[in-house]
Amino acid sequence: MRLVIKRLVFFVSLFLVWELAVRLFQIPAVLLPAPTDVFRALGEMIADGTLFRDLGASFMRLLVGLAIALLIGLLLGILLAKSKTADETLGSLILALQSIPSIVWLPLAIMWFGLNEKSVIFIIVLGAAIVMTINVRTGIQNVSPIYLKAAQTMGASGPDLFFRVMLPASVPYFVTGTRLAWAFGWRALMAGELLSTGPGLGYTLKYASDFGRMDMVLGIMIVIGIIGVTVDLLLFQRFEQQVRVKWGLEPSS
Amino acid sequence: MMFLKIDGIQKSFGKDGRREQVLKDISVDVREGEFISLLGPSGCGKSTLLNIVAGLNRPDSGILQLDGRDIVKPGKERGMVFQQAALFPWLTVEENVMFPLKGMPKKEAKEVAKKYLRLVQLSQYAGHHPHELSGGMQQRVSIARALAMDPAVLLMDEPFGALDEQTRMRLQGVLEEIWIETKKTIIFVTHSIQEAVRLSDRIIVMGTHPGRVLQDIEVTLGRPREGHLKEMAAYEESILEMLKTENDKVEEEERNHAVGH
Repeated sequence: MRLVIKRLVFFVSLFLVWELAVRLFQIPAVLLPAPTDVFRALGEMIADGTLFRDLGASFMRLLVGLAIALLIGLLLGILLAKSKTADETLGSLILALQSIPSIVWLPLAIMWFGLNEKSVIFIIVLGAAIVMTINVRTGIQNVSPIYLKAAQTMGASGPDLFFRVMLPASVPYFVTGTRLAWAFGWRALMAGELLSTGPGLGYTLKYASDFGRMDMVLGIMIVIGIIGVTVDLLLFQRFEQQVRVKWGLEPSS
Repeated sequence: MMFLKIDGIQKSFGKDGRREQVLKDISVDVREGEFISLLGPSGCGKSTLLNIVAGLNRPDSGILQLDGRDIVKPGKERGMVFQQAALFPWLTVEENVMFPLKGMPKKEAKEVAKKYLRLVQLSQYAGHHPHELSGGMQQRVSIARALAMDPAVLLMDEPFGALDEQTRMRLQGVLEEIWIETKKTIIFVTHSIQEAVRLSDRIIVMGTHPGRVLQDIEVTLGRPREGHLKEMAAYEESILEMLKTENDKVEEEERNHAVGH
């Protein structure tokens, strides 16, 4: 409970200082709008429905992209874990691709798919599938040898061993992969929308910027941040923690 | 024909380019229904020998037969209990015990699981997950799981080695009762003289460098062993004495070896 109070005090004072600074030094709204303006802009966007329409459109894209990415990541990860040759060749390419931010694929994607949703989804898939692939591969390769030995003495081998032991044993890694895929996907989504077309949160942000509405820009930024933190901390990290405890990777507290 | 025939087993492992012999000419005949212990210090290859019987390792040479059939890979007729319980954390206790019963109708498999969980006195924990159980309870589930597939031989690799002394003593009692009730053939690896005497009909004492059989001792005491503390102490002492002479021999060999260089 004390944590909540500490944070509340911190954020309230942050907004107070911000408000005071803007008023005291008479900072123009195009440089830095006051928090009251930002919240008013947010209120408007909620009232006329733009915010929810944008959120809906963005989330739709994200979900489609993530679903494709997780499927690709799962299959590729299994392939890399099971085939040494694939790991040594395709695996090195995937590691190399990981160091390229997926947004730089956008010019190519627009040439391939046009200036539309497909390009943005492509960017999400690229960003998210790679982290998922790497986590799935690591998970399957790191299955505790004692599980495999025990299963073998109980008559399991081949596909039976894979589906009944290796896959379930790697679930904690799949969960981590999914969390990271969401984080990469969310960032890729915003960047993609900012540079392509709407409707969507990123697109509205660009639109507001074109009209010099920095209060709307900041408002959307706050929404992006809140959604990111909520999904990551409250949803994924909590779930990941539960899975790790159940799988005996961390002591229960 | 011997029930389990271990004859002339040799095994070496490569280490930094040179071969080290882990098992040298191991021969043991195991009778059906016998509780037999492999006793020896760490490095004597007792666990390697058990893994070979399980089919998880292959010997370099030698004969290995169960009921006249060669052992070449792991199989359900040889159940194994490891030092770690090795339960699958994503399954409940009951599902873990049902794991080797694949192919059996589910209702029947449930009945079997129930029966063996009752045998290890854990029936009320069927719906729990492994991480909710203590180490000793996990190890009991692991014993139930190995017994559920009704193996001809139960192989146990220091199953109580990671437990505290009290739990260990209690589980020795539980295991003895299970053995009396099921009459399974059990091969039990341990480095504890007390444990070997407490549980076995026969103790194969092994020595190191290379791993070999030093002595084959019959323990002719009544069961349950709890009632024979004095006689057990006598056995323990004689084994300890023998191991001491063996130790002195090894030390002398090492000294001579050093002088020779």
